[in-house]
Amino acid sequence: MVKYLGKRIFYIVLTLFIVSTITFFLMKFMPGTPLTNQAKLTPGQIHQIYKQYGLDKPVWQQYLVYLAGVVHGNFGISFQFSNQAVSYLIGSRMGPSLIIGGQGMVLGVLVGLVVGSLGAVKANTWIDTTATIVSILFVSIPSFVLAVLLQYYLGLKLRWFPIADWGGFMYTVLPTLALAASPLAETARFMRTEMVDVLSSDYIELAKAKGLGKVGIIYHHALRNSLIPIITIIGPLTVNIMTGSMVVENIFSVPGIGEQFVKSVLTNDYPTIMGLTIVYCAMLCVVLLITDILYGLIDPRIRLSGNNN
Amino acid sequence: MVDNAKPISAGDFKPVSAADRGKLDSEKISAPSLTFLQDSWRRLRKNKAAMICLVILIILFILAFGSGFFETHNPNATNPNLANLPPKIPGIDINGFNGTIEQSGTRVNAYVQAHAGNAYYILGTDYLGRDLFSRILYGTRISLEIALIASFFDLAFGVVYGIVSGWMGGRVDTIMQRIIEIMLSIPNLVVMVLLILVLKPGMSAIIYSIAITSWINMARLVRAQTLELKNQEFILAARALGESSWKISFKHLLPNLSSVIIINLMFTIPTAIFFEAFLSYIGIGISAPQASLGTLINDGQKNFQFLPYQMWYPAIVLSVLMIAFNILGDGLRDSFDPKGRE
Amino acid sequence: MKLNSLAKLGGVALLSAVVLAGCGSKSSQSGSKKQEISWMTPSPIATMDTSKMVDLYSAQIANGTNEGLLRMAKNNKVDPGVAKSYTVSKDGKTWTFNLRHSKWNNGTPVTAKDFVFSWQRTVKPKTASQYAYIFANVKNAAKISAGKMAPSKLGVKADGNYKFVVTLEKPQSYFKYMVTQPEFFPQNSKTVAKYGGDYGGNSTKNSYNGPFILKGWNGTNDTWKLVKNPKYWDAKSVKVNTVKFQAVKTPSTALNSYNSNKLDFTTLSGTLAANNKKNKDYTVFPQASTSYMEFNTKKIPALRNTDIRKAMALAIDKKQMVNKVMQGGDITPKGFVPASMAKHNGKDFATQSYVKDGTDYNLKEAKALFAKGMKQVGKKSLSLTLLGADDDDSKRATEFVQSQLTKLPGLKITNQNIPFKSKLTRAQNQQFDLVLSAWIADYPDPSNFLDLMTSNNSYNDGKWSNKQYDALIKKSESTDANNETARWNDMVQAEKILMNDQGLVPLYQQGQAALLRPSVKGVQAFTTSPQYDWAKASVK
Repeated sequence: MVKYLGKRIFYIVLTLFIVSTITFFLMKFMPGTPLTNQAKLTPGQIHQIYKQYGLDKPVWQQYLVYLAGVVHGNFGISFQFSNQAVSYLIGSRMGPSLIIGGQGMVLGVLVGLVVGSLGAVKANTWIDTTATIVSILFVSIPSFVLAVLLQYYLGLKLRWFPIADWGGFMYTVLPTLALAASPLAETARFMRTEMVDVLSSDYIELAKAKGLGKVGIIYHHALRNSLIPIITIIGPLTVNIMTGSMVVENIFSVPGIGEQFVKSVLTNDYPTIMGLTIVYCAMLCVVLLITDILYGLIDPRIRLSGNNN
Repeated sequence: MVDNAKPISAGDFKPVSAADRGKLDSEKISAPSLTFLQDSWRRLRKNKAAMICLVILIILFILAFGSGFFETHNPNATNPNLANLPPKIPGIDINGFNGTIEQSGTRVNAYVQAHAGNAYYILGTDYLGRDLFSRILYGTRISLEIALIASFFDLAFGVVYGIVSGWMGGRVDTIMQRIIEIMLSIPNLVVMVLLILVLKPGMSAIIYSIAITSWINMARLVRAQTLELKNQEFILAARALGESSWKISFKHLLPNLSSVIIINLMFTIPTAIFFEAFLSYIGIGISAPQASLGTLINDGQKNFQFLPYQMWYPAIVLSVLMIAFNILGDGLRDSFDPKGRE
Repeated sequence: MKLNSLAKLGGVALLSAVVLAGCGSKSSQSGSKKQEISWMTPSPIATMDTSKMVDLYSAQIANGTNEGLLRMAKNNKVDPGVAKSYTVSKDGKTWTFNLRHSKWNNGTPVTAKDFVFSWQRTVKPKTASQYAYIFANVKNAAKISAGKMAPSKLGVKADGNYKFVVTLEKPQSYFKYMVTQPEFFPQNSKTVAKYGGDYGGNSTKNSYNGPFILKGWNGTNDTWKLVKNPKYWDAKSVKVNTVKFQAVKTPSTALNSYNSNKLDFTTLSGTLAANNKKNKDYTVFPQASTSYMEFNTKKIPALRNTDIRKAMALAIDKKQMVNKVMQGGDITPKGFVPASMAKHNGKDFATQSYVKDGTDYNLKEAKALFAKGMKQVGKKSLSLTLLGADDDDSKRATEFVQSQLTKLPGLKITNQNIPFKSKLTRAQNQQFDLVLSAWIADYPDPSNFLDLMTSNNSYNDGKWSNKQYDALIKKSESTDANNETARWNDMVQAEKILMNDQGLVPLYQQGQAALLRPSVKGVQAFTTSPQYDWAKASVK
């Protein structure tokens, strides 16, 4: 276990190193400086500004400085917020994103599990058909369309929830719903397939033969055994949520990192783009690590030997 | 007993008549011999939802790629005097299709207001007076083109990567798998955005960035399948006979991988469509005056309160495309699945 | 201030693309006399360090929380600020400000030394202010910025605690407007020393001497508020207790929030503006700002031909652009210098310098002129790229201009929309054929615009050059600088030359369409930065 963990953490560090390196050099290829009005500045002032941003050194030195900074959680200064460290910017905007992302994930997965198992248990009935339609719809309607519709109908027309902004649980409802759609659909689809498989397996047949009640069978055997593989899709679902948050936060004015990422892209705020890229990767790496460990703990068949071929 | 046997003469035999042959066939119990694809197609045809989706997709493809023929107007021709007109189909007097629109509580005929004369637009016009119907067709074509080309790259690269990784095994496989693991822990949208920034927004940048990030799934599935096939008798036989690895992968592996590839492709295409729309929506996709479904939805979204049709129609087309691909993909998976064979 | 303008406008434009959205303060409904206003802003505060401020939206907040020597007022007037009064020497070079006894919010007095400290800090190279050039006309500022002189040599002096004396390089009649801008505000040296590089990084790391105190801004968030400052010298005339701000990202979200009473003010553009024109809350705030197209005469030889430039100008229907495409509060331009910005002897500059052909639309004549011009340069066809920013309004404008220009036979236009800052850099480095630019005045004087088109100005992106024009502008700044009428006439002449030669094509004069709750009274709106002032606002 320790060996496995060590190995995994080594790979995470390697991944983050590669990502920082690639983003650093990609960003160097792009035009754009922290200068707003180059034409009006004297060479001395330009030099000062470059110095402030560490852009006065040769690229390889900038690279080393950057890497050293990343190790200490320092991603430089934002071009957009003129004296704000990128790490502070990200830190102060992380909360809302984690809240709506986490809520969206939990809601999506829980509802998805229910919808998926209902579909499997009542396979080939109208319940199954409805469940399938729901999951196909939610997987197919892009989050940005869904977000606009939710805001208009539930927010403006019915006035059930605040339209936008941030400041309490009620404000998180609509963004959470918009984000939950994709994990809901994916989980439901996955769950249904898994459970249909489990329900037709020998041990379920045996349990039936023993005369166990239907509820007991589903609860004790089918549900538990189909739940385990669900852990494997948490990683990809996290990616979905990250993607979705970029537009959902924008539409609902959530002061989070997804919205910040898009804005930094549109304003060429390279230090922030780089910082957020690394943070996104780190978050995903951690989620993947946790799910893998969980999977190993729950399913005795998987051994965390570090040799997963 | 033997002595009692009647000697057989030639006259005892006669050719089987056509009628008799018919009787013989009726005793046959096996199903008609079908190839794998024929068999799958037969099963797919029984899946009504998938067939409907296939038809819808064919219609959408014809409309989109024949858009030059179906377009009612030039999709890029602006006419600001006729901007933001609601849908109007002559002869149909239902709100939503008769050229009227709600304005501060009352229904007004927008076409009369704009002095549009006899002009009509079946899905209305956008903020520059461009025909929305033609733009949706055109946008669908761009979205499909991007998705198809990106999927093709993804297919080519992913399949080759998967086969090489699975076939070579050993150290090569380990290294290639590590690369995939690293790629998997980078959110693909972030990579796409970075690539587009470097390559300058535009159609080719979107295609490359989608292709570069989406081959991983294909590679993993193909590798797993290759590993399985690698040790089967027919491959071993081919190897024993001294066939080159190249020939084996083309003649033996690829045909056996086809179902995995086709199914995965069916899910890659809608993903690519989604990412294109997403990138265009956040403003780094297709540049104006070109349109894609993503840019159309983004434009429409801004006026959703007043001119809901500007978002609804492109959003419906996008969703239908995605739904159709997804259901067809599901259907194909079921029909390719040997377990599902009757 | 110049670039300021571009940056600001970029800010506006850029953000209107991505921006505007809903809100959610609990209150400030019409009727409730809580003296609380909820204000929509397209962008979060970038910094509260006035030496480092580059965008309009930060400047607006700074204008609420701090005060300079004078205070911007309606109709191009200035009100007394920290200075009770001021005198200008005969040669126009020495300005003496008499300061009142006022206090920072931490209780220490605001003195002339705070101004000296602040101005020197902005100008000295170490601060790396992107705005230092604004001080160019203050004696020795340019040399200090270039690092050739000590900051203490700047032409400012504290004569005792309450007399502040400024020496200029050359007379500048509009200097009174400049000192209303945040770059010229005082700074509390103790606060700056205390927070160092973090000064102005959040609402607590700052000192305020204006009508309001900034609260709840953590440096990166989207909501904050201005709360009445009891230590402000004129606190008794500040009626409103709180102005809540909400940076909103999506225009439709902002409108939705306004409609559900979560906001008392929201900006509008495009179709949203068009659909709200009948709303009783609809208002337009005119701006001293022009959007225009520049020709790259340095890179494209054909664009040096006046007929071709004129043809392209005449081919664009500005009326249609304003009414059908932009649809907000914009109006058709009369020239490069915006209308109703500057007046002399009761006459508007734009009316006096109006050249019909410069802003007219006549496709037939355009085609004829284009053919003529193309013959002169010996070309059959011309293929150009049109560069613009990638926000909504800019995209719309580029698409429209493209569709209009392609009506000229033989002219092919390809659009290129890129992020605002990149566009700015490319324009300044002449990496374009045609570019859509915009300028918002920092002070209501025509020179603010006309300076841009002199041959060596760094914002003359297209490098259009006219000797007569340069001579007139120079004259207005030197020999005629102290003679109002002569200076005015020089500038009118110059504008006429610019329009007759079509050095650029004015497309529209910008106006900010907005919804403002009728119960909110007394918000002062200016055509130049900082646009809005809430110090005299109240809720009825």
